[in-house]
Amino acid sequence: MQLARVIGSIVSTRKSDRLVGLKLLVAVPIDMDTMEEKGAPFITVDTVGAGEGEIIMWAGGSSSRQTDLTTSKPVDSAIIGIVDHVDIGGRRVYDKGAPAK
Amino acid sequence: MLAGRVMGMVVSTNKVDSLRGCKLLIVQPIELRTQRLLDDYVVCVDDVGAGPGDIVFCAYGSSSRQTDSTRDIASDYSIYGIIDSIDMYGSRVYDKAEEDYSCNWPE
Repeated sequence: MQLARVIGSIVSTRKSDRLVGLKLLVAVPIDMDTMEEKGAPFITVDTVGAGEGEIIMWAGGSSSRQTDLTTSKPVDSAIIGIVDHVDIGGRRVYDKGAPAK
Repeated sequence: MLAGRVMGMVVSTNKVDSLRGCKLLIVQPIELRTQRLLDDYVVCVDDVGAGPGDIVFCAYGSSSRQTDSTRDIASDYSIYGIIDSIDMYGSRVYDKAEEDYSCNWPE
């Protein structure tokens, strides 16, 4: 699993029947030391109701099909959790509830 | 999910039986925000009827064999959707309806 920030969304009308009803989001990986965006944005499928700006946890490959929403769907990347806070080495590096800097 | 632009096709006559009838397209990965083409190509099985110049998304690995028409075929990349629009940071960075993109395509 890796952490990323949701920064956008994708609309696709013509798609596999099995993907109908699934929300496609754009996320960008984040560096856990600085919680800043680092790397290329990618497309992922939402299973938890994530929204723009939120830090999420995502799984790739066949692991992304282990949720009720994505079982047997042609999905290779899925958001499987919204992150509340992250502690590394006893230091809180991210707190969703903290006021924005 | 890999995003890319359909840039070409592959024809193969002598191939494994499971790939008979499959349309094989060449997809060039893109940078999502600018749709700039990256220096790479992948051959994908088309599951949605994508055409030249379309921006599509693809699933990789076992995920590329999850629909009735792709089950048990020898594919590791399948196209599962044509992208209409991409929004990032609150603004629309791609809109298929407003784009005028043409790519060379064999008859």
